Amino acid sequence: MPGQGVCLQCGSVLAAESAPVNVHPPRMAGWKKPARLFFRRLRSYRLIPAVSRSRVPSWMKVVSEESFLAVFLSILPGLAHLIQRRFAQVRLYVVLWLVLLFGTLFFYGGFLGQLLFGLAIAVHAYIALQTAFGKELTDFRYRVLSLLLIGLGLLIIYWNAAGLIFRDIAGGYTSVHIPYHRIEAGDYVLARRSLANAENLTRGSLVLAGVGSIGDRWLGGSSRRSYVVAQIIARPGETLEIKEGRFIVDDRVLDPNKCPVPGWLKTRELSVIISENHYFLSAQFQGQGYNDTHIVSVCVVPVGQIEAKAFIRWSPLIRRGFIREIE
Amino acid sequence: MNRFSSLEFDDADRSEKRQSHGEPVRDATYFYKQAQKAWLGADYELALRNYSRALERNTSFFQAWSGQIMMLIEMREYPEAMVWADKALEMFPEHPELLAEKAIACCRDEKFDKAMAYSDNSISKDNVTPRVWLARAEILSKRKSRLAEDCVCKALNIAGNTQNVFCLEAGRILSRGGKYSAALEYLGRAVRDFPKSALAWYELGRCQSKLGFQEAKVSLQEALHLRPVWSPALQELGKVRGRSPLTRIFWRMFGR
Repeated sequence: MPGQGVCLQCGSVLAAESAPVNVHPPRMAGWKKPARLFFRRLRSYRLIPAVSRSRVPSWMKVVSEESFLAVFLSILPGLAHLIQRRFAQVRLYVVLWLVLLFGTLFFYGGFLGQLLFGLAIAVHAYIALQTAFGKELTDFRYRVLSLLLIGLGLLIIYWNAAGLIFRDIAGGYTSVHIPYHRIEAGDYVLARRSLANAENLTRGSLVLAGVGSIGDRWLGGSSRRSYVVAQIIARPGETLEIKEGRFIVDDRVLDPNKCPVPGWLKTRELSVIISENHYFLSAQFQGQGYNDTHIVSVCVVPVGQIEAKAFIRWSPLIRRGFIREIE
Repeated sequence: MNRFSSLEFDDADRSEKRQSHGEPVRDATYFYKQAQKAWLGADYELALRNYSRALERNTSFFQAWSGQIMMLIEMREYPEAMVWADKALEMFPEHPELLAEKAIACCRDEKFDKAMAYSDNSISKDNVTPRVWLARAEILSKRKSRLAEDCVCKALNIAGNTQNVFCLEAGRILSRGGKYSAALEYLGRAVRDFPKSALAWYELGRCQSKLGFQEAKVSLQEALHLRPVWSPALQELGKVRGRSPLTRIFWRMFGR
């Protein structure tokens, strides 16, 4: 009948659409051809099923469509989208996130590592915002606020996750210059907590240890108790002397390239017997005018205060490498 | 001759005369015919473009939508063909031919359960077209069912004026299913109806080659004559030429 837009019998559209209709079909990208041919061959030989059945539980699908819960699912970037079969929407962002994450780990210890870490959190927060939650926010201010809040939440999660995943690993900045280890002041080293036992704490090895204080001043340079990277000079039961700017342990002069005396101890003359379960640690501490008692109270530390043993020079990149044993 | 002789009172006659001498009107039908010509020449990309141009002139031209989907299938872009069939189904809901084309796409993509489901759905509709039966025939021939040829006969019975086109399709389907002897009959008719179709000659030559006939060389050469430097025909001709007489006899005896 005139004016009828749709056929009453079969439902076909009769009238021309007022809105433009796209008449150009989607096309396959050239690189997909061999992949599709391969999977088609596998299907023809019944090596893979013809129809992939979704193994996602229905409750998870429901959760991925709820706004707040979808954000929780996005703790794993792209998971909510994957469940809803919309992963293609965020796949490039997920790849970017992975690249930034690996960059963070690779450049950890420097400014670049921190920058990449921040960007990784930002991208992750953006992916989380692309779920059902983000669709409900139309105002730009709310979106920015949500992005910041999600980013903050992710930062807390990343921090705790890193503590769990890398619980055996610790790190710190050195304050000494040790030519044998190719270490200079300010280098970042990684240490393993599992190596902080009597068997592995050999002379010359770098350790991460909690330092003490003299009066109200913490020699680590900050106003709180901190861990510093120090070098083991003398082990339990050994006699340590400092003479003419050199360490002498059990009447044996130590090579200054391997065990250099830090600046604040160079002009000192000292003789001490290291008690059981204690180690003499050498590091470049701040301040001056300390007497022997001060030196002993700071440098001779119990084994329990040694947190970890350094095994790799991480930063700067040019000197990245494993730390060799001296003995 | 007077001053009134040049006045155009009878415009219809004059415009018809103008058209018969000049370029044809480039409407949807024109591009559809160009697309059909390109398909017969096995130039699927050009055919797809022409179907798109036909739709640009008339978006409710069903045969052009159907043609686009078939060209995507010919170019082995099966997921894209499915997407486009779904798009066409928005314009023509539950159209049996579109469902049949989805069945063909699934079948060629080795997803037989889905293909059968779409085919069952398309056959259950009213106004079943020949393509619905040909899709069924393709699925059944993949399963080595004898009912495939019955479906082909059914398709050609209801084809009417377009029987020649569906003859070629039927021959291709049977050839793809390995029934070369049965395909020969339909492909023979197709080359008589479309003597300038490179596709028809190629399919005929391929069938004859599988059966070990010497005529395969002639058919394939004809296809190359119509469409020079066409790689599938060149490859097939190479295979035919490289075959020993014993191999030819073997295929003649044991080819289906």
